[in-house]
Amino acid sequence: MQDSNLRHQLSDDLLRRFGAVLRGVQLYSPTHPIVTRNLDALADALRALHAHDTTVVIGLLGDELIVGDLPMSKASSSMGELIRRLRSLGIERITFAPEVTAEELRAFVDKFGEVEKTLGRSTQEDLAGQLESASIKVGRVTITERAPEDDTDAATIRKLYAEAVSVASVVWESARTDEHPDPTSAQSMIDGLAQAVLQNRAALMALTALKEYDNYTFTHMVNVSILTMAQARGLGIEGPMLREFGMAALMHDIGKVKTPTEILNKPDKLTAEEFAIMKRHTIDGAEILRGTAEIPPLSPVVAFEHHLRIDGSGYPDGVSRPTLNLATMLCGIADVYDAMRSQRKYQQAFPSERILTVLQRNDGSQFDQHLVRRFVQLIGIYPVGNLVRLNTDEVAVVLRVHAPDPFRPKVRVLFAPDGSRLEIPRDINLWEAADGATTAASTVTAPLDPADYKIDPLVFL
Amino acid sequence: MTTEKEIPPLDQEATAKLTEFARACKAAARSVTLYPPTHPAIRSSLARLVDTAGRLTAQGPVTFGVLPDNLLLDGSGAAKPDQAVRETGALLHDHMIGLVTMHSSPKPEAWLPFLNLLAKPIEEVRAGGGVSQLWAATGQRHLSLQEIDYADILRDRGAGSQSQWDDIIRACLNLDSPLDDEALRHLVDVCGDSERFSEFILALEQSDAGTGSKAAALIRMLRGVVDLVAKTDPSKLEPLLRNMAQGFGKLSPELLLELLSTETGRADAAADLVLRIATRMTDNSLAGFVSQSVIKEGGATTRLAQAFQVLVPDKERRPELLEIAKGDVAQSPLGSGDGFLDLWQNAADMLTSYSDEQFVSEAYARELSGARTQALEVDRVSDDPPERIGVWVNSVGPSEIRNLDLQLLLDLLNIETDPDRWQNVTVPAIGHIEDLLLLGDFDGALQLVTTFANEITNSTPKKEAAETAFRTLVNGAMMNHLTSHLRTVDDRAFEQIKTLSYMVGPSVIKPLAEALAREKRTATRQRLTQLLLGFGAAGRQSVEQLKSSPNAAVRRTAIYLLREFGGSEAVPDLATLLDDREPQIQREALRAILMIGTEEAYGELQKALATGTDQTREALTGALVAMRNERAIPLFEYIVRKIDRKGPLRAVYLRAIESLGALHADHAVELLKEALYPGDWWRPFRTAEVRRTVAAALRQIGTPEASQVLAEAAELGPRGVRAAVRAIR
Repeated sequence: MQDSNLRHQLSDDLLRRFGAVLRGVQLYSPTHPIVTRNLDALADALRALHAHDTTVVIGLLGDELIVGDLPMSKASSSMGELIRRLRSLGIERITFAPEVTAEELRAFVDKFGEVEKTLGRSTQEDLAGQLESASIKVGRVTITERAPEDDTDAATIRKLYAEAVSVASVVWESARTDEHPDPTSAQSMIDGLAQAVLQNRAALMALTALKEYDNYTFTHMVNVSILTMAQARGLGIEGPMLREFGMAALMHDIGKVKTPTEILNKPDKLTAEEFAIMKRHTIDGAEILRGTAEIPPLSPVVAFEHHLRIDGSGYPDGVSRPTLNLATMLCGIADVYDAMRSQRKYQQAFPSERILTVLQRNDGSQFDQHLVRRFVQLIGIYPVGNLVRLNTDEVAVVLRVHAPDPFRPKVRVLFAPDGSRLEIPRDINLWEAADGATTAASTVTAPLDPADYKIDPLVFL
Repeated sequence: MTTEKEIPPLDQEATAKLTEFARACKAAARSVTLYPPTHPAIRSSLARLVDTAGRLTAQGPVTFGVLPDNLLLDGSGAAKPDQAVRETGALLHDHMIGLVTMHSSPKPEAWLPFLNLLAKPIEEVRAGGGVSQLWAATGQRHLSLQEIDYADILRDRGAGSQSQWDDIIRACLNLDSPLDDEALRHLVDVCGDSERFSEFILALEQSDAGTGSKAAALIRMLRGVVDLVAKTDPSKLEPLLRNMAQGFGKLSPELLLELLSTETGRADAAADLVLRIATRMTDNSLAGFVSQSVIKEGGATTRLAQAFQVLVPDKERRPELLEIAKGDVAQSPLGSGDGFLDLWQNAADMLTSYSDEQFVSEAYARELSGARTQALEVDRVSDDPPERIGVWVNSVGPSEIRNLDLQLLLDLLNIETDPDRWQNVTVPAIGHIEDLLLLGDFDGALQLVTTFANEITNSTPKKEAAETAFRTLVNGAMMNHLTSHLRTVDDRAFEQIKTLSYMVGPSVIKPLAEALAREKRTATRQRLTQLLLGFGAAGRQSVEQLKSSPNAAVRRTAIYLLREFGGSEAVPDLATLLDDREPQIQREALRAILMIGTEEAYGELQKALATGTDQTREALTGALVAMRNERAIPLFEYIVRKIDRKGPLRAVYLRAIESLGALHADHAVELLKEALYPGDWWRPFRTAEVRRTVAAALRQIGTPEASQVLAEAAELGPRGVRAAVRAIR
């Protein structure tokens, strides 16, 4: 009896040490003292259990952790994160032989962290091969890899975008009614958008340019998510981190579910009191998201900080950060851009040039100008998919941004100066035309609303 | 460099090989630019490149001379090069590659660095230090690249044709290659001739470079030329600046604004070269600047209006200049249109009244104006170096996210004033504390716990929620996480655990005591005890609650704790548990008293035995009998010495004697000798029973002293004693 109790105690200790060491490598460098200390403690815990059992097996059965043949219900209840991580890698059993060394343990936990980062890019065999050693064996269940979809078709992209807007409304509604935005729907939607950002960024971004008068709240959520992920992708970010950026941006304004509608939709300038209430959405958003399980930690941070600026201005009042993290900065840029670009009840859409100018206001002290530059290069003054009027009065759709001169994109002319539709559209590189080449069209004079011309610019991309 | 006319002809076979290679190279470069690295198109195009390069290098290394529209193989070229050869030549030339020596054809992957280099925009190549530097950094050896030295070209050539202007522009754009005095002297000649300088400006405007790069190149040229002339022949400086001012009339508004934004804000006004030149623009130059732009754009643009207002700050002067410009425009095809007058009026209105004020406030307009120049400035910033991107990406690394999350929770706990909402925030905060404690990150956990504690200490409206939070923490995983670290943490961390525990308050005593009750490892027990002792009176008070718990396990915990506390203060509490309804609790209390081992403790035990119920007495007696621990010897001695063997505790008395024997308590020989002799003649059987028990105990002890006591008793003792001793032999 006494032996059974002791084994239970040692097993409980082992699980906590194991959980601590895996959490440690997730948060600290491998050589951090906390990681080393937890590794030593894990080795101790294993030694103690090996005195009783030849091999020590940590298993995952349903939602319960098992050590050897002992179900560890109490430990399992506080080890949700460990269970989630094991499950995400499809690990159902880890066997430690008595001769396991400290080096093997360190290699195992290091690899565990690395494998998590490449989740979705490694094959099943890769994962087991990377984690196992002479004294540590990993039993895995098969995870069905998501088959890559070809989302390059414009119709598919449009469908994806429409679905994303629809899901955004579901997420918003769930946040409004029970203070917990539906994380499953949101995550699934972000997965799709992230994939599309990787495969057909231009078309997806072009969709963000469409002005949805009635669905501003939801299109803004989706647009900011897309624009943030597109910026992040340009910095080489991909995989889980890209999706976390997307999720954070999607949720950045979720705190507005608590803002009174009359303030949210007020066409006139807000009074000081109303503005104070409006400003609370950053706090409410952070509280809602931080209190929702399965929402990644970056999301509440971005919701809280997305109105903070690098020069210390912005809100929530009384909060300052010596530096802002990348996700907050990218989301902040995307938020300002999309909010000003979109047409709302009380605000006419701003031309892109003016929006970008605002991003650079206050001597560029509010936003990181290197990121703004990247953003300008990403979307151009006249973003891909925008319908524009040329200096020749021709109407064209922007096909590609010429990074060195965002004022002169590549366009496809659709309407002649007299307004007649061209039977065969023609493409012009305005930056070449500006050199006095073959055509008179050399610059964009104004952005236009595609609805006025009854066309869908996306089909031309 | 060689011109086309001087190129020795390449034979047919070599031409075919070169053409195949150029096609493969162009296709591969295109694939790398267009497709992701794993795309099959890249694999197949690389295979073709390897194949064609292998054929070229079959006899040894080959050298390609690069011309803007051709490739020379070891100095020879096709008279009519294939389109692919021309385009590959242009691609290499655009990347400032003058000479390529191919030593061998390596594996497909080894071509990737070269193709990636070609995929980079030229601006990026320049920003990276030039093609030679970037190539050297790849560590590849199968190709040697020689960069074009445009400064050298300038020294060798005059200017005049379009291609020569291109070369000059390239030289000025190549910021990493200095313009030496000789090259600058050629540029002085260009700038000294207004016509040639205007040609240069037009060529620059038409070049592929971005506006920022064009401005940088022009300023580099102007500054170099002006500095040289100022140094060598200052008398020519003023005419030179006037010539330059005339050429400025050919600038586009965009490039002019870019030039101004580059120079604006310099502390040294004398260095404001662009303004020095711009202020020398004549009326005709200024009017030409306007008319040229209006003709080109079909009207006035906002950028023209901006530039015009900067160049002509004097409002009175503007109408006069516009009249001149109008004349110029009227001479153009634009002037022959029906709507010319309206067009011009609109343009003139915009140029004279353009302002952001109609849209925004004055302060905002200032920001807008400043930002606009920055918008152009930003275009010129070179690509972000890996270090900067590294800093950005690291700002959302796992460790930073953990810090951000902690900071967020601290901020929310500090900002939130509504008690109900604050209580909601405590939920994730509690989870975070548990997570940090699992890890052993006591610093972070302490910060959060401190915010809770402060609300309680300061009796704020959130006090109640904070107390609830502490209760939740205590009842959750926190205590298990904490105790699991006790064995391994260093002293500093243990101090943090103590601080944290004391902040949470006496509610942790019970789980700590329970952990202590379960814990079997000495080091952990010691630290748990230290922790509990630190609670002082509060700890004792808590034990009081524990021992009256209806839960037997908790009462047992109280005993453990009392035992760990030790000292006589624990004895009264333990004594009450001697009378517990659960025999197991009684036994535990008995053992605890035994561990304390003082006279007072034993006295309490005796009292319990004397005053307890039959059940108590029975249980304790049973426990005593079962006790075969040397530490119990003093207790048995106490019982033999103090308990009346004729009283109700006679059985206890006898069991104590037996136990002394069983434990071979050699120090108890004298005590047992004293117990052997007394007797009551009127209770012969009971006296005999005691004497036999004592004799048996002495025999079990078996030391010489014990044997001597028995021998003396057998020989010299009273009859009853002799009989008892003989009975056990």
